[in-house]
Amino acid sequence: MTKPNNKEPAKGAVKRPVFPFSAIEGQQELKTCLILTAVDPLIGGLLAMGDRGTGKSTTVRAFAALLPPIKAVKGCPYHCDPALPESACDQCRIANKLIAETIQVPVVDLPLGATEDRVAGALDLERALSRGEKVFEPGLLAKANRGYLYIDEVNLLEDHLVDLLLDVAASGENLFEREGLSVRHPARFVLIGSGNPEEGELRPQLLDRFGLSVEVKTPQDVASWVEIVKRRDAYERDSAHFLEQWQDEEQKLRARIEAGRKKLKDVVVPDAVQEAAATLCIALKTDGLRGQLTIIRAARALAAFEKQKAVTLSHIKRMALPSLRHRLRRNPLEEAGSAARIERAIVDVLGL
Amino acid sequence: MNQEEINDATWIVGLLALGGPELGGALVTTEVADDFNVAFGKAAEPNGALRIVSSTMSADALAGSIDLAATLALGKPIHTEGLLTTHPRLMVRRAEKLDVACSSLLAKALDQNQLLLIAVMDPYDPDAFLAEKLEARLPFVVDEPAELRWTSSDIKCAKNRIERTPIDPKWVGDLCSAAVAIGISSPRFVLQAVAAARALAALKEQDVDESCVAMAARLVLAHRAKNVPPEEQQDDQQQPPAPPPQSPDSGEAENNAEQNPGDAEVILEAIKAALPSNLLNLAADGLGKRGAGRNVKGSSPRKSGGQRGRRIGHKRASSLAGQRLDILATLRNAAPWQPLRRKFAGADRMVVTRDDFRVSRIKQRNEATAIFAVDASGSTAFQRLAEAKGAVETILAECYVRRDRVALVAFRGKKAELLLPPTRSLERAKRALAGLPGGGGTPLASGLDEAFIIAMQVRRAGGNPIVIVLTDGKANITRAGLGNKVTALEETQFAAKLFAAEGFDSLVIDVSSEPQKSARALAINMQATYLPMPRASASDIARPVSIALKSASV
Repeated sequence: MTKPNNKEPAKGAVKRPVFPFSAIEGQQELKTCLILTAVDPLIGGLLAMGDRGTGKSTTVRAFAALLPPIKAVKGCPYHCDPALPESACDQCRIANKLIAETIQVPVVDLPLGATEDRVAGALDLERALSRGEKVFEPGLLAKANRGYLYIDEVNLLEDHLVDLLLDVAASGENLFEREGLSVRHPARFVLIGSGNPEEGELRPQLLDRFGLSVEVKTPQDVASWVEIVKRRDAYERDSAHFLEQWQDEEQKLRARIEAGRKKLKDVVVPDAVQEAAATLCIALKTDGLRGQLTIIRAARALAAFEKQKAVTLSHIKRMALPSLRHRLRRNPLEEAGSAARIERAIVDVLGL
Repeated sequence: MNQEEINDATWIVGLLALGGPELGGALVTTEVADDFNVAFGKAAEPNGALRIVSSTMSADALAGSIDLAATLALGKPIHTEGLLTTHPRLMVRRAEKLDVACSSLLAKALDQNQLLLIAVMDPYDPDAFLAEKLEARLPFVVDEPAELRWTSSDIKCAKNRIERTPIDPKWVGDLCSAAVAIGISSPRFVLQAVAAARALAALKEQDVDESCVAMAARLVLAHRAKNVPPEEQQDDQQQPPAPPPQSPDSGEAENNAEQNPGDAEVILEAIKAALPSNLLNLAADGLGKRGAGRNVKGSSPRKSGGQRGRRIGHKRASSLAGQRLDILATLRNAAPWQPLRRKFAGADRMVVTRDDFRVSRIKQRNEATAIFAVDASGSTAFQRLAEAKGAVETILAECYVRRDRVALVAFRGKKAELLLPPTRSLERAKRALAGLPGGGGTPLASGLDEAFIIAMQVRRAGGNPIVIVLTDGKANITRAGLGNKVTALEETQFAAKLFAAEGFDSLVIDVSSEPQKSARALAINMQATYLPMPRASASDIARPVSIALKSASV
């Protein structure tokens, strides 16, 4: 019998409350893109590359805390959605009665040194050895279902793990066939990667798998630094008070995200806009159709988030860079950045 | 006690014993580690002493895992707690040897303010670089003995005070300006300085004033000013961190602080006082060598005989140290004996003994590293330097696709120079190559020596080096940097034979306009493949190299 077994290793230490997302100074592009992945998870992940110490990790972790809670089946290791039995795991699908509970959107850290067992799951070692039972122990992919999988230093990830992630990200489920176990479980998550391009390149296959891509830079002016340090200092000194101060902002943003989600299906994409996006992608010679799909999805999510009824060319323009930046077929040695090429194409094609 | 006489190391002990967000630890040199430990132990008693650990520990030891022996003996799962839970104050010896998994765990614990980390490093080991993500999270550097100054009651008092010690926003602004002026790369370090300033004030039982801010800047920011991270170069200010424009007046920092209070100058002065006078030179060197090396070293996940990779089978294991148990194979081995063992053990459960253990055999991809030694001398290579660069670029692009690593050594004038330590970053390789000037003599022996050192390093780290020498073989500068063809030739022959002796895969690409005897002789001495470039285009050169790389990395 193969029954999932969900247990958490004991965690001794108390966690600090997370720095509020709205209080993060600067990083506008990163913040917008993160919000869009929450408005429409189908956009398919986000890659944030930049220098160290630019607050990539802080922003992503803060975003996790901002997300509105979701309903999930109680006790299910994959936190299946009780309202959508067709996408649930085997257990939840056959169960007569599902008890729902409200949980935070799962955000799972994939540590760099993680083994395949830890990521994909493994035979439950303790049960197997001590009682001779064959039980599947879900890994990080199971934990990340319906949530976010965050990989810091994604460019240093080992190749066999990258392969595994690509498979799962593409199919939305984790097929585990090993050690005499055969398990399949849903693993739909938004992949968020961050890293420093100085430390190594990302494989092109994985690059393409990210919907959006953002370049993160340290702000260059003293005023921003002062603001960053002041806010952080206020937070360190009295986090409870600080959180309270920002609570309204957080609440507002959360409400906007939820409103955007609801509105998403009603946002119209006019044919002219579709065409303009396609022309842009063709002009830039992006590989495959994924770029075109992403730019439309991202523009639609942006329109929904901004409470507009239809996608306009200006939405396309704003989403072109994050959607296409990493998809340009590039001569790896070319000096001119993708950003410049995209901006030129926007002017040429969209006339904006 | 007179607080003026307390040295920096002692202050740092106090600050770290006090702890708190951003004050996560320090980098301590080997000689003073013991003093530091004693002083810290006194300040942090009764239960806050540092636990000394070796950097070769596994990630399991940090994060905790299941205790197999105990689990088997008791028949129920027994977890061991990791060091991060049991000893949140760690002193790691030879911290540069920490692997990527451990560094990541430690960095995360530091971010969550759950760990105090003292990284002990040998300051004289040029190869020793702490993983960058850890280095950035450790605000202090300690290189002098700390004194027994703080008692646990001092610390307790300060802890009570620190809540009520705010920092004037004016100081935050000044710290930021000062940091930007000396080329500090991230606001993170200003945060550390702010935290340090407040903690200092608490220790001194006073409010945050100039002296606290200036000292915090000196302790936290000054040592960063000379280690400019190489990514700074991408930005508009391509210069190494300009020290403040005024003429350096070191030594007067503290006095000046009294005269013009509330000025960023005060902080800059304090930082300047702590900087060596030849900052500019240091910074320029750092960009080429130390800074770059730091990057790579910190992020290379190399480990020979590793535990990661694809499983290709299993084998019997006498001890489990660090290896992955192949559960299925273990159980399969234990199965036939169960009726017998149960009878003897009188147990009603599965009985597994040490003899049954099977561990996975892991196949790891053996990574290739292409080491280019490029002759940039004036003699012949000058005319063909562009073509040589073209060839190297083509190979780089190939390496990038295959995830090999590259290193770049250039020799010209009097000496050889490591332009790029082994890296996978195309961006840096491009930059290093583009910035390569030509002209001068041909110190071929030095170039070969440098390439040899890198090749040995790569091999020691478990990789597979391939050396590609682009030259005309006409050595005319000796190792000592003198113009003497005879000695230069002898030295070159000797250097070349070292490659043959070690059996490194190598290629000599003759870049002169006509094939040269000297280059061919070099190839023979190195037992290298010889390729004359005159008839070859850049891509023709790249092909044999990429074939060699492919066969090396299987």
